[in-house]
Amino acid sequence: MRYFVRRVIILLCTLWVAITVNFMIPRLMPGNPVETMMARFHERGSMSPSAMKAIALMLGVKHGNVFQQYWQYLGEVVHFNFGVSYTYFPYTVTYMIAHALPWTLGLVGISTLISFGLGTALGIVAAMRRGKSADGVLTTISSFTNTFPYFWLGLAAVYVLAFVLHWFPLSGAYNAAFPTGFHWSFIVSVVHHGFLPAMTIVISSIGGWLLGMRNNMINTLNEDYVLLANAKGLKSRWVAWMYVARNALLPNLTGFAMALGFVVGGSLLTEIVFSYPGIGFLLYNAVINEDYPLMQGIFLIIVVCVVLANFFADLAYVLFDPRVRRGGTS
Amino acid sequence: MSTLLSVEDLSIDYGRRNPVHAVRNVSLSIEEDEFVGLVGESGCGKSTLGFAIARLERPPAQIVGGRIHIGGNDWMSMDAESMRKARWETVSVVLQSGMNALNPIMTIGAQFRDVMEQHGHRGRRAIEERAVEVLDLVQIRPEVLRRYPHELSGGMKQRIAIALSLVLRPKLVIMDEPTTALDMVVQRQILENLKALRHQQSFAMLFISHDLGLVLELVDRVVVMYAGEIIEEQSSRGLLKHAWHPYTRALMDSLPDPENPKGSYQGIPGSPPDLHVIPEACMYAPRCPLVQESCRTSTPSLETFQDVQSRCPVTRQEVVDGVGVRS
Repeated sequence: MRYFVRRVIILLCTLWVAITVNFMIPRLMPGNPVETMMARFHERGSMSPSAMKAIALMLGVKHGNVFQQYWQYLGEVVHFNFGVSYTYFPYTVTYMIAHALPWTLGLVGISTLISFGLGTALGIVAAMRRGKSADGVLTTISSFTNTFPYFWLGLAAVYVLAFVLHWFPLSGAYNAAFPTGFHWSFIVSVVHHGFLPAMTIVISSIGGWLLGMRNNMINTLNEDYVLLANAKGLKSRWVAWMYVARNALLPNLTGFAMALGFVVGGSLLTEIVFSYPGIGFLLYNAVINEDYPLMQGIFLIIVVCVVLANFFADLAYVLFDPRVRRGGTS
Repeated sequence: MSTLLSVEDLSIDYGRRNPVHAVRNVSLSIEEDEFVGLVGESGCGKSTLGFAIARLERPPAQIVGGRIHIGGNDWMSMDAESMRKARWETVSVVLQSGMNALNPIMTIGAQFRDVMEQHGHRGRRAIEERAVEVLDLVQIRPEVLRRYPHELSGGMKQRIAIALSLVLRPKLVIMDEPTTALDMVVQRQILENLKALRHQQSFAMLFISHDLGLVLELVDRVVVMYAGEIIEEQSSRGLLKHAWHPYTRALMDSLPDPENPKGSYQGIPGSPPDLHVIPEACMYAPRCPLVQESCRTSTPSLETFQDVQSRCPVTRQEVVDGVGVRS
């Protein structure tokens, strides 16, 4: 319980620091959004001072000193109010993020889970058959796929499988011809659109999990308790799982939690290459359009997700490793 | 008494190309309920031999010849599943580092339970009772069954490892330096535990150690290894009276003498030989104070004389001539 409370306090402190940094960074940059927008309108003709004031009000440019602004900002963050997007005006930042987030969570989240699960399982297999042909094949393929530059893999997949062979769509997350909702044709279209980006994510990341798990397993196999487990005449599957894999998995859990945190950041490259309407694609558009409120909102969401993922990793660790359970209190 | 373990001509190499001949043509037998000590300095092959007897040798170690029979079973040609079932019920082991011999993510109780369940014991209650019983033999309270290894001290973990080795009533327990990693006080407690154990449960023991003094206190018979071979074997009582082989004598001289606590101990000059190429000579000749010309040109064999097996022809001749015998 004390462990939990301590973790929650650390979580809240980290969040506060992240939010504050997110507040400060745009204020350190020169210029202001109204001038940016004005510059854009100036290309088409001049603007009256009253129009400028109207834009300032519309975008919610802050008044008062920095501390008042900070206080107001904190209040708005708590209410998920990140202002209005310049690019997608009149939609709010919250609205844009809420519409991009499910796509990213679905695509990158599921791909990360598959990659971790499959990679870890194959790593266990490779380690238990180390030196044999199955190990050789798995290790060689992993080392190979692990070194693919992702953009190359993505572009090659789009070009060959979508552009040349027409097996998969070139872009998007679903076929606009079908109405959105939980019915068969729409779901099939989502899976069809998501398959290629998901496959490239899995291919490019599975090797890391496989090799990492294999190495941890081989280190653990040399532990005395594994030798003793064999001497005890335990069934080999039981030894492989309870004595070797469970212990070898612990260092990988942290990496997995971090990966889950970065899911929201999206695979920026994946979403750009496949024009997938997720957070990564949204961030890309925000950057090229200098849409600061949108960027700020996305950064905040990413940071919060990484911090939360770490928090849950710490809690999950407790389930898997008894040595952490009574940490500091025993 | 009948023979429980018989090892014949066992040889173990490390590696395939340019192998180290770590154990060569070792023959050894242990009677039921007998405690046998296996001593020698680091690298003499005593642990390699112990692990091979339990069939726990790990690559690059491999058995290259010989036979092992335990309780009538051919321990070299069993199929994997009968081997698995025979493990721990026939031969159990206690490792040097008891602290690392327990799985950190399982409770002590779970580590008693898995071995008992997978050897056909049923009923949580009965299993726990048996665990409590063996823990009691090593004076550990039953509460530890709910604990994890990291919550216990090194001495406790080693005693738990000993209790664990007895849980299936094995015929033979192989202990590889079970007290070496512990401090003197705990070492003493565990030795007393072990001495008391044989009155409570019947089992034979192969006790591997570099500490001849400790071994003499515990076992009935001592086997001395040097550079991968047995060089002397006799009863503890006989050895205390008279060590035959010059190496065993040197080991005895390196022990502290309780009657002369301030006396100087004798080290053994030189270091053990390289085991890649085995010379046609006595392995101990380069360090031996009694070395003769014939020792350097022919390999002496292990011969039995007056219930003592020794490899040294020089000291055997002394006994025949009636000199150098301490009475």
